[in-house]
Amino acid sequence: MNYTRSRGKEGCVMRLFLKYRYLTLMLVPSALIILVHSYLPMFGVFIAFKNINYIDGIWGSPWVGTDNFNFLFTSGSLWRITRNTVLYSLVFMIVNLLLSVGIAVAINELRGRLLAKGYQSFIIMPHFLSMVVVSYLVYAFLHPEHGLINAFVLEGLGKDPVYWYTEKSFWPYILVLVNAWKGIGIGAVIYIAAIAGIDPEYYEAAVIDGASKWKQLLHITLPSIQPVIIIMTILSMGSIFSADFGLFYQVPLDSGALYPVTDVVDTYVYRALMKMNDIGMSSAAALVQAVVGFIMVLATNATVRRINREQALF
Amino acid sequence: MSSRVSRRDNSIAMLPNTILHTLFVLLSLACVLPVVLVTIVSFTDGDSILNKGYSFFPEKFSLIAYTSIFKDYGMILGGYTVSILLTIVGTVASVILMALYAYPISRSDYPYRNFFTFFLFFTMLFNGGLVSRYLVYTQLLGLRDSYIALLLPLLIIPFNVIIMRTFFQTTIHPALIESARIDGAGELRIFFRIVLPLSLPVLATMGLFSTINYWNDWFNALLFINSEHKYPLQYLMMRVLSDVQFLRSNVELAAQNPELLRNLPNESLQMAMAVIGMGPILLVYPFFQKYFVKGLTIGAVKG
Amino acid sequence: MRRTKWGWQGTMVLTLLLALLLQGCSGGPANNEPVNAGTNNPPAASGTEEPPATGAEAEELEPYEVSIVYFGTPQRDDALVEEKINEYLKEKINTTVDLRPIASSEYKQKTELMLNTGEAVDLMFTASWLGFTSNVTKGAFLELDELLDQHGQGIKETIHPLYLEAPRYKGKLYAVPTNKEITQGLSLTYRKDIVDKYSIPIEDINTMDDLEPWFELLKEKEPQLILNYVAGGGDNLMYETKSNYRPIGPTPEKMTLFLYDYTSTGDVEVKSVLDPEIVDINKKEYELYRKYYEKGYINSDAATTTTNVSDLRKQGKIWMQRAVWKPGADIELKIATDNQYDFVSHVVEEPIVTTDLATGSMMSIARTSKNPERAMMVLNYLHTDPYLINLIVNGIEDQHYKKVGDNRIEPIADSGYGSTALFWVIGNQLLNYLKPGQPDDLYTGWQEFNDNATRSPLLGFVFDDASVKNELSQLVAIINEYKTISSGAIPNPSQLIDERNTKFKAAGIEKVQAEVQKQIDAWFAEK
Repeated sequence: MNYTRSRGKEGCVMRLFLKYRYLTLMLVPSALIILVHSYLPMFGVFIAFKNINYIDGIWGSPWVGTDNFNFLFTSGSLWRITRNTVLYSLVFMIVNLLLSVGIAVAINELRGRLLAKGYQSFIIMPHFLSMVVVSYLVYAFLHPEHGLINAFVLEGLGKDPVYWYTEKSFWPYILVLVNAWKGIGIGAVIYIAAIAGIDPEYYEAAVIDGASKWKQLLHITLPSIQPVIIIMTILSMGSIFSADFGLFYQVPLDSGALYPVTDVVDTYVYRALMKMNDIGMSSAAALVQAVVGFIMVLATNATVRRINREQALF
Repeated sequence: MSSRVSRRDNSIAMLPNTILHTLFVLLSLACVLPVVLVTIVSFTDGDSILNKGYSFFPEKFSLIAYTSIFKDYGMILGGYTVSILLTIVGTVASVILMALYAYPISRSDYPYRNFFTFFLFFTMLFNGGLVSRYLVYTQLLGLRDSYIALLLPLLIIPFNVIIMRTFFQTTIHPALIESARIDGAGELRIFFRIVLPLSLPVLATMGLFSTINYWNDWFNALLFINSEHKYPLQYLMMRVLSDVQFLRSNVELAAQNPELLRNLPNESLQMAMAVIGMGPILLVYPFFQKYFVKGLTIGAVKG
Repeated sequence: MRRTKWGWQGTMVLTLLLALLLQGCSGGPANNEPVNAGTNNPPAASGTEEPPATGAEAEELEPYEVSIVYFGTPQRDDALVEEKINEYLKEKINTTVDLRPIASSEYKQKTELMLNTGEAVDLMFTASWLGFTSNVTKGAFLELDELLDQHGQGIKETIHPLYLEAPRYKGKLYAVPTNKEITQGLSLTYRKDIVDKYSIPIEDINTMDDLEPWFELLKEKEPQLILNYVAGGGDNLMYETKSNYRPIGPTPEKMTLFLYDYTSTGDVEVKSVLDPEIVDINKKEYELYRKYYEKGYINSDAATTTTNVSDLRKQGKIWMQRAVWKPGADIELKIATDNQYDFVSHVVEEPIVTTDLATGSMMSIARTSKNPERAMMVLNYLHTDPYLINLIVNGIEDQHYKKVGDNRIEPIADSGYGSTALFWVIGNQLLNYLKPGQPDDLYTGWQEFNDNATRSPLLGFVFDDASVKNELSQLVAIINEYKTISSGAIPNPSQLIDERNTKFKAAGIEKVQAEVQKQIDAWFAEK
């Protein structure tokens, strides 16, 4: 690595800077935008340690130490929301990864490019629906009286209707399903792009060597898109302690009976603070999520680094 | 030049192909039918929905949802104009800026790449929260009620930049850059003449993501825009939907003022708004995809 | 790893530097002042060197723009109406206004952002259900007693005096309520044609239990009806029909946690929902709903329905509902069904004036106002000037409505203004023109109603939740989890009540109860 070597020599710093000035110049505009949009507001982290009132304003309000964090950690449901959040994040991550990669690989292999193109545009459709609309759609299936499942499927089978919104045992599956339905299309697009970047000569060589499709998949396709898979995984580790609010709040229609399986950090904080009007407490919750995400990413990255230095994010 | 192996020689056998096609047809149906259902519901008579719920074959069709939305067509047209312009400008600017950032940090010889990668990456994990962002935007930058407040937040999506970086890393061979440099090309020339043309697939993908982001964004409009004529379409649609939800959860308020509920849009109207909101992007998507596939083919013939 | 660390530290240093920089530019001058202090305001705000609120008043009124933030969906012709208002007020008090309607769903979030960031605002709509108390305790609004005396004489003359007792904190007035009906009773309201057809003696039906035989009859004879429509759950309890208990203290998510006997004189004793007597009422009520649900009297989707009850009412599926009652309520309902059905009501709960109800819709002056006097003058106009209030509520004559009588109008459909219900939000509703269907004596009826309303012994008491925030945030979570058990759609409500109450106890409901009692005692002592 160039950089490490040259860093020792003092005189090199300037020369190095000059040598790469155009590259630096290229990323300066974007870096400035990141600075303004993301870094400037970061000073707001201190709000989590203050008891804000409007007379003293944000700067003058008194410091309260970690008081704002108490409500998170004294909560009787702490274990429940932590478990739900982390488990769902992990399951979503794995399910969506497998399905997206599977779809990307399969689409790439299909005969009939036109059809493949068609499938691709169809499976991305759910991504465009807002969670509110999705919640109506799910409701159309699960309505106790004229929902499609109760009215057609179960009645057709001669079974008793299921009161979906008060029966919590089904919801882990429903949520995973809805999340996958909404997310795999866009995930697949990323992997299709990655596969498209693979040099076709590899495959040509493989065919000449008589490698089967399966072998090609294992030895060419997957290894080639592995960096993308790893990066996507590291990135989703960062949000392991956050959840898609719309999915957990809108889709189960905020039904209390389902909380044991639908309550996650984001919904808990929202419900607890909605009426409370306290930015200190909500900042505290956000900070905890960020710190956990940060640690998770560093840990994952360190693990990846240990296995294969080249593929770590940094 | 090695003799090309045609695609046909390396494609899968007939049986698995059929199975895969069947699976994809089912999957596509699962994804399309709900969207079709939304569309049908938007054309369904309100009473039919109340009595029978959603149905692919409603008892009675009705155009009332659309006529009542387009009664105020000035507003809808204005919303479309803002959304379309914002999406076009935003997507172009965003793809260029992100590529400009992603390329240097993809170069293994660039000395500051670790710093700038982390500089970017760190923002994915920490943010100052809504209040401080609002402060910076409105008071430091003076962006209240400005289109720039809608443009800026979505210009650089760290996640997408990192995907781009990876794409550059895996597809642009360092030797290619090295040989260009020996030919006397400068960094900028290399980037625009060699790197970008080779990266069309990822550029198209990011373009699509940006389009979706800008088109669907309503939250920034909620925060920063006050003038009715500056609102993008999604915000106008979203506002009606969330007002419905708000009144539903504030039963007391609604009970005290029955009039508040009276003009509330029913579900067919809400679905019509969803259709109006997502319609254009569903129309644009195939175009993008065409480009996207073109990008794929370019990727395939290189070498 | 070393290089990573360097990058990380570099970033942190940079962030800190920026934070300091920022503090230097916007936080520097102001420790006791609102943050913005004119940082970024264009020169439009004329009197930047305005003397403080209590200072000597300017002899000549300089031009000033009063911004009004209120609860209502923006309308197409907002700008036209604003122009008309400006024409009028310019002449009267050399003032213009900046109308800033905010849609209902985002009102709370947007106004809180404004308050948190110290944005300059003059008049701001607020209400008990929008966190009025917590905003006052945080210092969002100005004290109004003096301003009201100086510039709000008209308000003092027109508004019912009980109104000005309610929005107080530590004895000081912080908002002026909209002048309308001051409280609401609770009634059982029926579709008149059904009542007549089966000669249902509604005067004798005072509780939900009394309805059982009629549910049974109608289930058979009128199967198309939803006999008892329940949406979502929440607090459907009718303590009032069984006792004299009324809610007090924090009612997060509209859930009654603490109660007091409103007929008590002298000391008031606070009870929580853990009190055996209350638990008993609770269980009976929920079990009853469960029974009704099982018998099919309650809609099957009671726990989660997303249907707009107004649509069902228009369809004629609702024959009975628990409704808020005030004079003219039946007619409001009739209008809400596009005049298809007539309604009759039997009042089952005596209306009493509580802090909560009397502060249901108010205007306050934000601390950031640069000219509170002028804001109060405008508010005074909104309470006393029929032309102005009708302009803002109904729009411009012949463009948004037609005048069909002395005090009566006919709105023009799709005119671009007047479709948002603003009458209850701004100023003095008693000065609003009557709309089709409303009886001529509507407002005199309200005045009478206001005069006769019983005053709660705790009127004017507000609970400051600062010291029990942790407990409350946990209680809210539990409330939400169990709110659907009141809908009848969930089996075993009694068992769930016990479960819920155990959790309440663990979450510290007793501590909150003690705090409510303490504050009430202190409040009495102060009086």
